[in-house]
Amino acid sequence: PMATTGFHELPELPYGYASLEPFMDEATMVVHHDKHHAGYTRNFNAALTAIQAAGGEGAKICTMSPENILRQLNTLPITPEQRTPLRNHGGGYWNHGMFWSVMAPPKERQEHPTGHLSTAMANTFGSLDAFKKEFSKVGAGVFGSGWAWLVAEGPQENPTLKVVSTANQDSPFTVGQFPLLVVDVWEHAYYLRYQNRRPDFLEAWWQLVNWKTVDDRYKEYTGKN
Amino acid sequence: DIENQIYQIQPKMSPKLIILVIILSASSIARSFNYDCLGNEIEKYTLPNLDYELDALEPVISKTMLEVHYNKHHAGYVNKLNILMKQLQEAMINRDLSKIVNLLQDIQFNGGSHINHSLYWKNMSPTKLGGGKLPDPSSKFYQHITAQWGNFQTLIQYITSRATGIKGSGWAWLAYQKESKQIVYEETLGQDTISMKGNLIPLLAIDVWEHAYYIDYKNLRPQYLKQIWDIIDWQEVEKRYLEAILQQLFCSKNYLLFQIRIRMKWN
Repeated sequence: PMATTGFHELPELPYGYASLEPFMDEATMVVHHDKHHAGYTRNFNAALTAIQAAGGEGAKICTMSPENILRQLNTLPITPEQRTPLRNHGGGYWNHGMFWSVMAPPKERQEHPTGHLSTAMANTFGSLDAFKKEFSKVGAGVFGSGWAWLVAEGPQENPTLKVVSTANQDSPFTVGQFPLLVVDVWEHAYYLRYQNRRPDFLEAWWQLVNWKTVDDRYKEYTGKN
Repeated sequence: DIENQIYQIQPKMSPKLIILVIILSASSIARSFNYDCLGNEIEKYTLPNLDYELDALEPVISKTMLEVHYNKHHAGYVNKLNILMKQLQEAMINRDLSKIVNLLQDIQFNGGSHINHSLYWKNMSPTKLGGGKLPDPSSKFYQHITAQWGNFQTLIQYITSRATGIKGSGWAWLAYQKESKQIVYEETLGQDTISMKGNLIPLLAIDVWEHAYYIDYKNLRPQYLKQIWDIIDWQEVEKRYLEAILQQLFCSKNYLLFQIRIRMKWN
């Protein structure tokens, strides 16, 4: 069986499987992390192993971070057949890791953005509520499988904030954007408890968002503390 | 000249087949009256009736899962479609081109979903009503499949492995390619319809959106695809195939009239 360790490890959840109840159920967390995320991890490692074995220029990407692989996805010295699994499984590996990190048990999380991020968001969206409305709308509107994101783009000193969506496991890194916040809207992310009611899932999900992670990522992008 | 061609073909068609064709043509004409392109109040799109009870597809598809898929997802798409078609009607009356263009994307999604799901329910059947049973080896459809694919097992394995690999949300299909007259495997993403991919007539639809299998199989799409063959209604697939080739030969709705005229001429 392919390993969930190797080039990249399946990250542990930062909290217990049941700690996001009642907004996200334990059963979903178990399957989502132990089956879906684990599957992407294994397949990502397998893809990198194959690229390494093939030798040549491509082999050096095996030491790159997943973020950089996704950033440079379209210019890596590899074949299209090698690129596709990196896009799907590398994307799946990284996206799910970020997804766990932007959530926290409802009572342990930071409930609002602070500092520079808070200012930037007020300037861009008007209010936190207006932002949430826009984000939920984009998330609900994804046709089929994908993700909704808050991203930063442009110069470090004065980035633009945007709400975007990607299909399947595509990453904003690939189009030069820097993810700050993400929600998984593949059906497997909410189906067991919410079935087809994706808008209800998104409304509940806000009770889990840990804005500390988002603050930290914004600081990482701008270099400002 | 077309009549001469038909006359050439005519003697090869058995009375049974002619009766089948007449019934199919009549039903196709009748069906076309339900589909008003503007979705008027009296002719709203509706959830099609299932030919089986909600628990009839167990153990392949549980009652719970079928209930959610049919009464929540499909019903939701139909309701949304009706709202959108009403809005489209208004936008067209007002000649609001921006609105029309915006609506068309959502209509494509919800309408496509209605088409796809309607085909899906119909090409499944409980085992006691023939689900899983392969067509008769003497049938034209069976012979076409074996001529092209070798045997049904090969075809089934191919569809299963390809459908497993569909990334994200989509559908796996068997379709009749009108130009080549071949039975081909196709994939569509999201709720795109098979006709959006070209000159294709749908024969078999398999939903591989996660909602189609998640409650019973969780992430194990391969398991769902392995089991689903026990409830595939090959009779329905065959019926669509016959309809497809006959439509091609005789320009669908006009077939009935051609047949009557030719019969009268010869007698």
